[in-house]
Amino acid sequence: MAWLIVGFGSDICGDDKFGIAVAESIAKSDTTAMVITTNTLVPELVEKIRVADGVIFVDASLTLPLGQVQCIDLQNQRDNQEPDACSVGSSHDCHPKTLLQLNYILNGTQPPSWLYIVGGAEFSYSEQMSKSVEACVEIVKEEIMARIS
Amino acid sequence: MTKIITIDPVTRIEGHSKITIHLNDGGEVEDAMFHVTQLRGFEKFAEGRPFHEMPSLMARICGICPVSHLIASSKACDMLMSVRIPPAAVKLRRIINLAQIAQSHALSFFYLSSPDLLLGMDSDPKKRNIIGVAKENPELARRGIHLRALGQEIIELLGGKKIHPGWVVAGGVSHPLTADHRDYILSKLPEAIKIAATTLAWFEEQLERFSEEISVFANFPGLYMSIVGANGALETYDGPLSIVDKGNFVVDRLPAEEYKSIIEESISPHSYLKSPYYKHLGIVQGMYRVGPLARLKIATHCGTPQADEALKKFKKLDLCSAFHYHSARLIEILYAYEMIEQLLKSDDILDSHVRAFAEPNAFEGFGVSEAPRGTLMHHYKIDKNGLITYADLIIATGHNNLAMNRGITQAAKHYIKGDNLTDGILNRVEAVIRTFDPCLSCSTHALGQMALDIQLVGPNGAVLDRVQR
Repeated sequence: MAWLIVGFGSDICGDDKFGIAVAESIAKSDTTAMVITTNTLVPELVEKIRVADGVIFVDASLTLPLGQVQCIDLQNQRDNQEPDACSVGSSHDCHPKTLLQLNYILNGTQPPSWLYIVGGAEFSYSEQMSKSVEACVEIVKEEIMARIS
Repeated sequence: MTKIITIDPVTRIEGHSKITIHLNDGGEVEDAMFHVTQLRGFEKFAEGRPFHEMPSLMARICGICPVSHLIASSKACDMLMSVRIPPAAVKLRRIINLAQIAQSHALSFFYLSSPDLLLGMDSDPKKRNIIGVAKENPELARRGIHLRALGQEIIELLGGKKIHPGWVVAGGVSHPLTADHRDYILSKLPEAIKIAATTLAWFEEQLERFSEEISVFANFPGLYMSIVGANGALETYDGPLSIVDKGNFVVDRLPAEEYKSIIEESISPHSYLKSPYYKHLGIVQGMYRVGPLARLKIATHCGTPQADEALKKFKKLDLCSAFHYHSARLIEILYAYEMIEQLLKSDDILDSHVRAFAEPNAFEGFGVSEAPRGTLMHHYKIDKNGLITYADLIIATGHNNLAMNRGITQAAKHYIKGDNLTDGILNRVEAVIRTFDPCLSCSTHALGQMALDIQLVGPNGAVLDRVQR
């Protein structure tokens, strides 16, 4: 099964580095998954989603309590008729749901997809994550590795 | 009583801004202003830093066009070192700059503007986005994704990563191109060239639907500036500055480092974005435009077969209208991929000598290039230890500031009658700004978030109506 792992965020904005840290950790492990790190989700990613059998996005959250991990099944959300609001303003900074919807429209594929998020606290300039968020890197990595194995 | 309409934030542009439209007592538009509301100040941050750090630091100004800053900044550092960089490095820098132009133009045309062009200015704002485009015309969306993805991929293959690559350095580039990467890129170019040409042909057929927009989207005579190549060819990497009016050269091939002899910058109280102008004609008559429209207006030819043919047709359009920035972008995408192909086939493109090394040998350095949005200038001064004492950046979007303000005033006067505001009218005012494809993160050197705000302001300054998205 061809898995695509997309860790996104900024590696110089504190806890926003979480998605990238998880993706980089997975890339170093024994996996055949395609692992991508990116600052933002852009429409070009549909080219990677098109050929994937399953997709996992990893990000930090401004709204979840610090250190709380949530896994959202995006399977049932891809048929939304309206794209996420953040995509309307810029068209090049998408939500995972928007990317999946775009992929479905253009390529007709619907790979099972999940979004892992962790609640962060510090998003200002820093190359370090909060200790609580950093501790979740290995936890989420292991959950993802179990899912894709 | 005067009213002010506010569009805040302006959507589908790079950065954060708002527009205010001022009405007089008769309910007619008196003025419109484009406010850039963000500030970061990279020119001050640079002071005290070693000069060789400048390319990497300055690239952080923007996540859309970091390569443009890398190029202009590295060229300024080349001058500080007083070196002539190896020929292969010049070609490689040209290639990454062209890839940057192609991907940025694809983003502007397909992701940001095609919702208006395909779905219509009056279409449901909830559908005016890339998803709406994909539903209406999947092939057009696929083309946009393909053209942008290839530009980004070329940047990554050459520079190591898509955003903020550190490969372009003072003295050249950090490592040579491999044969594998050259061959891979060459294998991808024919399809991209075909897609760009097909899209251009499609868009030429659409122009008739937009005759009204063409007539009032910043459609007025003025000046146009860009660097120019040998024999008047389209040039994006290096060359002297030229300014033209309707058809005559106002400035003909001025060494770019002498820019201060022709350009003055003004500051307005309503925006953090400075307003450069051609100083010998003053701030009103000296307004000029830069970017793809200006480049193609000034260039006599492109130097690649299909872009040359496209340019001949383009020259027949009413080039006073900013609406034709869209066509110009498509022609430049075509040109960029054709020119990359030519450069990759050069005999010395794989040469291992790609960097010149030297200590600083001059106290002042200047670099110019054509960024996707227009002429980009980096000007540095250093002390005897090579530390920056002065940095002045003139950014493409800044050059266009006066024309953008005048353009939205023209459109607002045409479309807004009394208090009858519709989303379609406001979208057209925004769309004028989008034709210029401003990058506000670059031009104020600020951290950008996408947004738009339009305010309706009365004669006494009170905000009477406001639309935000």
